[in-house]
Amino acid sequence: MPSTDTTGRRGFLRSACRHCLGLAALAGLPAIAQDLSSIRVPPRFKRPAADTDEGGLWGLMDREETRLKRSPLTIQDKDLRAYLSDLVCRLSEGHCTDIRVHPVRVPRFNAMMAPNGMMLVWSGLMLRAENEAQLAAVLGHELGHYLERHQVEQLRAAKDRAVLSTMVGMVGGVGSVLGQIGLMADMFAFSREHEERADRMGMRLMRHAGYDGREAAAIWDNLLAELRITGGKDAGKRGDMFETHPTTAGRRDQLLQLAGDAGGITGADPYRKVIAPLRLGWLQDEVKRGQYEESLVLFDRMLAKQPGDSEVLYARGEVHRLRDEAGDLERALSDLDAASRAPKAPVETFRALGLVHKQRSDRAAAARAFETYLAQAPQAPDAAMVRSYLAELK
Amino acid sequence: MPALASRTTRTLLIATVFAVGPAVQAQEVSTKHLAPGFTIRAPESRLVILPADMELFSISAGGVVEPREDWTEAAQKNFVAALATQKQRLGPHVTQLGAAEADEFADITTLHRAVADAISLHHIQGGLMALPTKGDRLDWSLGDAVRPLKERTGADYALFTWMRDSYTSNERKLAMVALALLGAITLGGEQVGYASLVDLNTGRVVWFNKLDRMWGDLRDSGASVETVEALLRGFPGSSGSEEASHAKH
Amino acid sequence: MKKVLALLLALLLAACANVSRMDGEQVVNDRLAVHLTDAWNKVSDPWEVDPYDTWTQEGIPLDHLRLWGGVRPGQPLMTKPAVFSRAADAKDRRVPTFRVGLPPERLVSLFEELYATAGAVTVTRMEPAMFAGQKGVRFEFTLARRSDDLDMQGVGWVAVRQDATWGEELYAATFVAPRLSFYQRLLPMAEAVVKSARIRSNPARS
Repeated sequence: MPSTDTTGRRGFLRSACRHCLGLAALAGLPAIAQDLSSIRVPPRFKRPAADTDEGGLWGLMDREETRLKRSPLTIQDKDLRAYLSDLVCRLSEGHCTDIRVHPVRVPRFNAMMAPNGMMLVWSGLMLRAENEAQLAAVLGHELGHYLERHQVEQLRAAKDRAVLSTMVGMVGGVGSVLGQIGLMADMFAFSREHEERADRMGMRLMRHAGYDGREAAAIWDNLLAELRITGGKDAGKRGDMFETHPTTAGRRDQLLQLAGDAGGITGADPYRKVIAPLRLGWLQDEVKRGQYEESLVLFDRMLAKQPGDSEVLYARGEVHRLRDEAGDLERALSDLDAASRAPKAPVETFRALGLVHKQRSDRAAAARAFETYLAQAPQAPDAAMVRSYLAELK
Repeated sequence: MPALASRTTRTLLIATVFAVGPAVQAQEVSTKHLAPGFTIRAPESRLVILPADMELFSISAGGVVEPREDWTEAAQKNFVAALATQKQRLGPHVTQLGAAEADEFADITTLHRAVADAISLHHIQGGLMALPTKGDRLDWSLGDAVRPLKERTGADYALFTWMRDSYTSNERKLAMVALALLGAITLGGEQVGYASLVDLNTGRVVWFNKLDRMWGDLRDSGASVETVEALLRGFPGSSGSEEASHAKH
Repeated sequence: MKKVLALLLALLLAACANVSRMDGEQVVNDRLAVHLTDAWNKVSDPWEVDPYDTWTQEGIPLDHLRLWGGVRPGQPLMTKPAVFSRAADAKDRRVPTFRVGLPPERLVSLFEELYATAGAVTVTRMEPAMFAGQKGVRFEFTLARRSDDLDMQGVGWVAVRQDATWGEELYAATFVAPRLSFYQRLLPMAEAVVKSARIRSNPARS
C-alpha cells in the first residue's frame, strides 16, 4: 500500500508538523483544536428494537457477556473493577449506567466495546499504560466507537459491500458446515474513518474529564515501537486480519494536534497503585509469550521511566535469561542482581538469580540465591527442582 | 406456512442435486444415539431442562450473517412452549432451570459444550474422525462434575440443548434464485443443533441427538414444535410410558 | 478473533484429518517407543507439519497426549501460526525452539510458552524425574483455554539425550484434559504410556 514516495512525503510532513507546534508554543498561542468542541456526546441509547440489526448485535453480545463473566480469564479483582468502572463513568458523560467494564487476562494490547455497552480491557493494555491518562485515551477511543455506533455501521457497510468471503456458518463447535461468522471480523475491524473519528471523540472525552490529551499520542507511539519489532518499519500502517487498532505514524501527530497544549491530569500514581497487586502476574504473562524482542521494548521503556522498579527488572532479567543469546547472560545478571537488592523484590528474583549464577558456574552465588528463594517460598511450585540444584551445587 | 413450504421445496431441490451434509436419517441406528446398555429412564425419574443455548441469524443478500434478537427471543419462547407439548416424551417430572440459576453452573455447561463437540465430531459425524477406542459407541461421561447440579435440583437427568439457526433474508432468496438460474448452487439457511441427556447420578451422556438440516423454523410457534420433535426424536422414555410415535411432516 | 481461529482449525482438522487406533508397541517419529496397555486414538495431522504426535481418549475438544521424539537443535516444538500478510522486513514471531544446553527449567519454559498460545498458563509444580530412561523433569500446569473458557489441567515430562550426530535430542510428552472430572480419570492412562517410554537407538531413518 504505501510506497516509499508516500513515506518520504509523510516523513517530511511529520517533521514540518513538529516544527509548527514548536513555533506555536513559542508564540504563546495555545494550540487548541477548535474542532474538538464541536463534537457532541450523544444522549443515552435506548435499547434497540429486537427486529433491528443493532438489536440483534445487542442480544448476541448480552449472551456473550453472561458467559464472559464466568470465564476463568476474567479478572475478578474488586478494586480494579471499581477503578475501571469509575474511570469509564467519568469519561462517558452520562452513559455510565449503560456500560460495564470487564478486565480480561490476555497479554496483548487491546480494548474493545460492543454495542450493548460491554467493554473489554485486556491485561496487556493495562500493563502498557503508563498512567491513568493513557488508559483513558484508549478507553475513550473505544467509547468513541460506541457513542457513534461504528460497529453497527460496519455491519451495514459489510452488507452493502456484499461480503462474499463469509461462509454460512455457526458460532460454536457443532455443525457439518463450520465457518466463520464474518460478523466478528467485520464488527471489530474498523475503517480508517471510524478510527479517526474514535480518536477525536476519545480525545474530547479525555480532555473534558481533565486528562492531558498528549498522553494519547504517547500510548499509541509506544505500541507502534513494539509492533515494529516483528512488523518491520511499516508496522501498523496496515493491520493484519486480527489487528483491531491499526495505528499509523501519522496518528500520533493527529492526536498531538487534537490535544493541543492544555495539559491536564496524567494520574501516574493512582494508576500504579491500583494495578500493583496484579502487575507481577501480567509481567509474567508477557514473558511467557516468548516474544522476547517485543517484551524488551516494553520493559526497557518501563525501566527508563522507573529505573528501580524491581518487578520489571526481574521480568527483563527473565527475558534475557530465557533468550540466552550473545550478551544476554550478563544482562540477565545485571537486571536480576539489581532487582534482588530492591526492597520489594519478587521472590522469584532469587530463583532466577540462582539459575543465572548456576549457568555462569558461580556455585557459591547460585547456592546463596537458591537458599534465599527457598527460605522465602518453601512451598514454591519448583521447590523440588531447586532443592535438587542445591544438592548438586554442594 | 407458505414461506416455509417454498423454502423447504427450494432447499430440498438443491439438496437432491447436490448433497449437502448428512440428511436427517429416516431410521436411526440406536447405538448412535444411546449409551451402551441404556434404553429407558428409570420410572418416576426427574428431568431438569437447562435453558437452550440458542442463536438465530439472518443471511443478507451478500451472505453476511447477522444476529436477529427478535428471532432469537421468539425462538427461545417457542422452544420452551414446544417442550411443554412433549409431556409424553419427557415424562411428568420435568423442571425448567431458570437462566440465573443455570448461570451458577456455567462451568458444567462449559464442560458439557466441549463434550458435545467431541461427540459431534468423533461419533455423530464419525467417519474418518471416529475414535476407534470408542467402538462406535456413545460412551462419554462428565463424571462427578455434574454433582453440584444434582444436589441443587434433585433431578436424575439433565437435558442440554444447543441450536444455531440461520434464515435467508428476502434479498438473499432473490439472489439465490438468480444465482440458481445462472447454474450456481448456493446454500440457504442451515439449522444446526444438538440435544443431550445426561444421567446426573453417573455423569454419563445416555442419549445424544444432532440436527443438521436446511429446514425448520424456530421463529414460528407452530413450526417450532416440528423442530423440537426432530431434536427429541428417539428421546428415551421412562418405563411405564410409551414414547409418542413420531408423525412425519 | 479467537473463535475464528479455533473454527478455522477445527474446519481444517475435520476436513482432512483422520484417526487411527494405537495399541501395543508404537513409535513416535521413529525415535520414541512406547508400550500401550490401554488403546489410544492417534489424530493424524492433515499436512504432517506438527512436530509432535497427538493422541486422545475422549476427543480433540477434550483431552490430548502429545509426544515429541528426537527433536533436534534448531527445530521448533510447535508449528508456526499462519501469517496472513507480512511486510518485507517483518520478522517471524518466535516459536519455542529446542537448542543445545538447556537446563531443565528452561525446557519447561519452552512448554510454558507453547501452551501460552492457547490461554493463560501457570506452572504449578516442577521436579526432577526420569523420562524415557533419561534424567529429565516433570511439571504440572493449569491452562484457562481461550477458545472456550474451559479450565484445563496438564502434566508434562521432558528429557534431553546426548547424541553423537546432533549434539542433543529432546524427548517430551504432555497430557492436558479438563480440570473437572476428566483429568483425574484419564491421568493414569497417560502416565502408563509415559512410564513405558523408551528411546529407540539406531533409528531406521537418517
